[in-house]
Amino acid sequence: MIQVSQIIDRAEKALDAEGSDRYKFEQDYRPAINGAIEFLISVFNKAFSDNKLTEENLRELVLTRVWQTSKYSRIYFNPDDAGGKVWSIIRVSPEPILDPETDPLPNEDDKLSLFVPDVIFVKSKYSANRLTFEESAESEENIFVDGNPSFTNQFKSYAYTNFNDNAGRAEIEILPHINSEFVAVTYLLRPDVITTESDLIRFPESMTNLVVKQVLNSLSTKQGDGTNLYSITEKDVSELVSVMS
Amino acid sequence: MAKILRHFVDDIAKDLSQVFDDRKVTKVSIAHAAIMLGDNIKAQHIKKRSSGAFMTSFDDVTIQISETSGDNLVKRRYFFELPQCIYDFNMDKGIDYIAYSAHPDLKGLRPPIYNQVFTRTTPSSIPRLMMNGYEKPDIKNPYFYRSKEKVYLLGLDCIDPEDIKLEMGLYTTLKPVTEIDLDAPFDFPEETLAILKRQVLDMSRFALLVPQERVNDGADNVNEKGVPTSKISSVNDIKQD
Repeated sequence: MIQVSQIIDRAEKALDAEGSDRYKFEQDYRPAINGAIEFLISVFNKAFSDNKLTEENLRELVLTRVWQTSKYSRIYFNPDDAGGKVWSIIRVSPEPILDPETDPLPNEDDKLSLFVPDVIFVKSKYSANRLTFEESAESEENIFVDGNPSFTNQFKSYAYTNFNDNAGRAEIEILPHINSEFVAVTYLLRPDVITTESDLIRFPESMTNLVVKQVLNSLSTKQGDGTNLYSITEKDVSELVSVMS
Repeated sequence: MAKILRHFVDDIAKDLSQVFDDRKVTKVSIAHAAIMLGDNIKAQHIKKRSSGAFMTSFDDVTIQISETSGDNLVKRRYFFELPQCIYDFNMDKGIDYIAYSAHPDLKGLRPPIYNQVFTRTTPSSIPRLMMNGYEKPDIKNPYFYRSKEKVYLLGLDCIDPEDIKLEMGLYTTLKPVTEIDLDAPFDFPEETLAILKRQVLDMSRFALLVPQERVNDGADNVNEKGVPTSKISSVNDIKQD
């Protein structure tokens, strides 16, 4: 976690604005910090798509929780249950071994999945592979596509399709269909934007310098074209991003 | 300890470096190739050797009789369905033997397998058999012929099919991927596993050597060299002469 106040301190020092009212939190720092968060999310999205993500980079954001699927074999990640907005799915583990062992929970509205609190995911011998929406239709009858329902032996495999808004809520879908069964999901939380100086940014501390550089880069834009600060931070950010992704 | 198919499949997946989550060759594909190629090697092995190592025995197989005709179904003729797929060897030698045991109240019959063994025939030979008293199908000289997955029985018409149970030895093929047990002993001659591995590796490598023009990549695939390509040359290429 990175403290917002720490970002502001470092930015003030770089700007030589300690104790000055030149830069204000509401007008300058908050938009710049939130811009930096969104910028880094975009950078990581590119890294994800290029298969370059190492979870260690974002370890503070990696969570594993257990849900019980809806009767449509879908899971909805309510931000209250998931601890925030889900950014990306890292692993989907059907048929998990849980501690303590738990029976399926009564679900009054079985069209919705159910969050299973107070259980620990121990392990699962299955890990669902992600399919595109086109591939998911293919898996129904093609035994060579993950998630095919034909297998009852050790070739049984699972798959999932990424978020799809079916009825006003974005859900992932597990294949082959499992009705009201437990699934453990490991996912990345999307870092929240900040509102106050006492907030925390859910990025690892090792990224503090990168956030500061990006904040300074944003602030330099306000100062006009061609400032030294702009060119220096632009170069630093490019280098740090290329190293990271 | 007999080898199991799981180890064989995992070994090949490892050799092909297909153990990561974005793999292109799944374990099902490897097992499917192993079964497909393995059946060929196993069939050759059985044909070459007089051995019971790969004969599977089935007991208490019931005889059926149909009152209606249908697709590959002859009305009112005794038959049974093969309990498993068998190799299609010459002269139906995928069936090593079929014997029957009848209800103990039926006198004069010897224990199965000793004498009550069926002889293989073909439908076109039956008229000739009927003309010879020594060859004519009857309770002590029964015949069978195969028609796809059904085996028809001749000579038992005077016995109620419910009073008969069949015993048979079959040379069965490997089970398909939807049924095979990965952790059961692999029903395959172990001394030919190396040949099978080589053949499966060759076939899987071929699947990975996708010609460049057949790759349908998105624009975001920056690593074009990630897709291996090779020129496929004919063995009849004139340059090789």
